[in-house]
Amino acid sequence: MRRLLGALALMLASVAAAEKPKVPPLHHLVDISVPDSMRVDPALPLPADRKLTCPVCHGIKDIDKKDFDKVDKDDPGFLRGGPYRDLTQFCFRCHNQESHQRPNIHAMLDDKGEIKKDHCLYCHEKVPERDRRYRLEEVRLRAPPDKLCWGCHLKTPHLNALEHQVKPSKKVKKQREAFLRDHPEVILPLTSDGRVTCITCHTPHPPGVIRKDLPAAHQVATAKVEEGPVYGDSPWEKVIAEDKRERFAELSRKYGRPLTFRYRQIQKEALLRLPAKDGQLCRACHVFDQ
Amino acid sequence: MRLVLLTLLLCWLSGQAAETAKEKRWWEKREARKPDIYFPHNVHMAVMEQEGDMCMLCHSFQKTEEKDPKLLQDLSAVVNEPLKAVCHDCHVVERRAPWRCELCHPDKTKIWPADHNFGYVQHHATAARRDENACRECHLELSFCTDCHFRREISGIGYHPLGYITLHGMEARAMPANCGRCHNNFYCDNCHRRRR
Repeated sequence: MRRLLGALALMLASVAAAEKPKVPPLHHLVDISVPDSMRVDPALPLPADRKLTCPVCHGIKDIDKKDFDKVDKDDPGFLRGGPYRDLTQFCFRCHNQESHQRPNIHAMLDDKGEIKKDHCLYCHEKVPERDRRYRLEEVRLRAPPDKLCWGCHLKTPHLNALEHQVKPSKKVKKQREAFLRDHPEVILPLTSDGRVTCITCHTPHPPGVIRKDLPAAHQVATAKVEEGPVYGDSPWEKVIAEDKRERFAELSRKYGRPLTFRYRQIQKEALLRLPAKDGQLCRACHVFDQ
Repeated sequence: MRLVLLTLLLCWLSGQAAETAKEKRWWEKREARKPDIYFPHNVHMAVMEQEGDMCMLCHSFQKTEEKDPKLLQDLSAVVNEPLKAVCHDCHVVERRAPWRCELCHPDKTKIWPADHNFGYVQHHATAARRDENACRECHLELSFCTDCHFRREISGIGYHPLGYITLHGMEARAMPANCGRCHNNFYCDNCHRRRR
């Protein structure tokens, strides 16, 4: 009897599995019908019944029968029209890019200069008071400050970001402390375990959100928060290209795809606690004997 | 007690080993790769400020779409290390900055081309005719060539003081390489062989 029940359970489980095809995690749902209102890129072979199946997105034959780990993700047919450096570009072949774009939550003031409170709540559990001086641990963030930014930004949004996310050396620590003693109008917060993180150099709040005389409000405001930093041409561009030419060719060979670097000079800065283009921000922590 | 001490010692040793095994960052490796480069940051700050470029000219913080941490590490090393082209643009090409090689390369032997061995001065003509610009990369002043090539005096005070021919023996024995900078062995043999 027990055997019979076991066999029955197995049969039911296999029927259920057949009804709901298993796909790797973070995968788009399959076996669903694409609504008529959605315009699907004609290069994707959507069947007449508009049912989403593996071959609609994947150009590799029998991909569903292959081991997930054995599928070549760099194959141009892995996601049709690929490979994609930015996966979301594949999503936008069907989904509307504009309506799926995240709002710039750092643009926190409306036309009247009032705070958009819903923007605060992306990071804070409760909207902080504008005029109060808080310590970092009092602002009730939704995630630890070193991880919070990663909710929307890459861990490596710019060069040298990774290099900086470390505990500062004794020399740097000493210089930072001396700088902050001499400049009480500035904060350069570290994580609870003393590491440099995004908010050490960046302020998430545009000018006007925090009362002006509070150190957390101190920042550079040469660019509009909606636009972000502005880069322009540099007279050094050709020289730097020559400087890096050989080593970038070597890197391209090593990684099997063309890697380039074009030096652009920063012209306008946004959401920085101190100006970086004239070296003020760097020199808050880095000093040289010679 | 001995056991406790031994355990403590082992812990300390393993800590030291972990410290040694920790991968060095680009600026730590740079010292090993370019031991001859002298770059005083402070000296450059004033001039860079004047020209509107500061730290980020050499240590770029530009936006990147790269996500692979290994690649980013390699990229960082390259974008953070300015090499010859950047330094030489001011110091050699435009000569807006001091251009004495030993100013930045305290040990000149580290930047000497491999063929600049003993006696190269006697054999430099072919290389100089083939690529004069290569010579000029280091020998910026023309006087480096003309000091020897335009020396026409045969009796007056030239490179050596008057009467040096009678005194040269001691120096030639003590520092033969010095003589070898301009004279080859035929030059010596011209007189010495005749006397034998």
